[in-house]
Amino acid sequence: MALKRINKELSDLGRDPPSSCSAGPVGQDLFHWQATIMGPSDSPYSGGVFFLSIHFPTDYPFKPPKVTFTTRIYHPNVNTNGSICLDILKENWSPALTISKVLLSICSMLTDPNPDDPLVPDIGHLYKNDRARYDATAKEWTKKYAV
Amino acid sequence: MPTAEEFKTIGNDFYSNHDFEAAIMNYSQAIVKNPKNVIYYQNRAMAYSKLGKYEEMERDCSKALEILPNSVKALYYLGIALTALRRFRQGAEVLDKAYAESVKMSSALSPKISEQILLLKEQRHSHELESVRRQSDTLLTYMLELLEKDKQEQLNELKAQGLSGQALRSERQFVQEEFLDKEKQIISTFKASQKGSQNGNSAMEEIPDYLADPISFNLFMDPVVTPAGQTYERSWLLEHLKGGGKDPLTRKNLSPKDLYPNLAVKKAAEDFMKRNGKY
Repeated sequence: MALKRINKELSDLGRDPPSSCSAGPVGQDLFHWQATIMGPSDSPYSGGVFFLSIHFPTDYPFKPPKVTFTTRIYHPNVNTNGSICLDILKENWSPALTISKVLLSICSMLTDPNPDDPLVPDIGHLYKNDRARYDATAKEWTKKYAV
Repeated sequence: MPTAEEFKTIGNDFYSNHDFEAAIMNYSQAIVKNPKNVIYYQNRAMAYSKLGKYEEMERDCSKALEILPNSVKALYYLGIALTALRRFRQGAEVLDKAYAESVKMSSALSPKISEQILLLKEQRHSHELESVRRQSDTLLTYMLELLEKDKQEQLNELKAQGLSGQALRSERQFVQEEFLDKEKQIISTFKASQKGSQNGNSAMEEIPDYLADPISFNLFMDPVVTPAGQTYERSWLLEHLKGGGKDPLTRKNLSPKDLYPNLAVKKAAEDFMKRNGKY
């Protein structure tokens, strides 16, 4: 059941790819994908290419895909394991969402972090109180891990 | 000696290790011990399908249905077997019944059954195209044979007219060329008509968004409309509503009793299936 829909998403991605992301299966297993996101130009992640791993549950799209960063990133809503704190990947998942839409949401999360619901409180605190230092560290990490 | 249930459990273990032959042997033992349990037949049917043995699969499903005539699972599996055996008319009947039962029982199999109904329609469509193509090939062969016969007759006639030497050779060549032209014409006419019917069915036309369910992305089969005016495939939406009860697009509260069939979209989707044969 999930497989047919995953296949359709894959062919839709091929036909109409989103501008700053790409995604596709890692190997033969269509339930495991890899995705890339280009750091948005109006963010400190600009110039970086970030890799993500996507695992589809067998009852997809009734349950959300598991999406994690495999490239390290300095961001209030992403922890060192690459786990992402994003409502649409959890309680606000809807089966009408797609991987393409999820990746676009992650892109906009890079531009606009949500410091009030931080997965890493220190980074959230810094983002709110010393934006210049946050920007500098995020840029530095981008250069170090994502270029 | 293990009990029927124990044989079934052993069979399931072999099944999950992809040893379908061994799974079948154990399910068979379970059936010998207790021939009245539908699950043993259903499990063996599924193992047969993994080996491509659809005749056996069909037989086991029918057995299960003798015991439990409205078993959603047995009806669904029987539909799969009949689709694979290309018995489309019977398969469509069985799957329609399976679908109706599954919606009534709010069974989790319902989305799968709706997908199988679409798969059957897709395969029936390509099967029909294929048989039209085969008929036209047969007709073409027949026409070419007739043409060849006609040519031979004309050539024989030349001899009967008593022509010889240069005169016979040039007349023969004339006839040969004339028939070669005709043959080319017939072949190109057939090829053009085959191509035309393929293009007419435009196998490459994409399913428009308004005919695709926003959850399964499949062509609509049994579409329902919400109070907000959104249309979804019934079984997929019901399966989603089991886990919370919000409209997937508007995120507003939604209850199964708020849904009405969307008959216009249903007709449009059927029309698309007829023309394109895909979902």
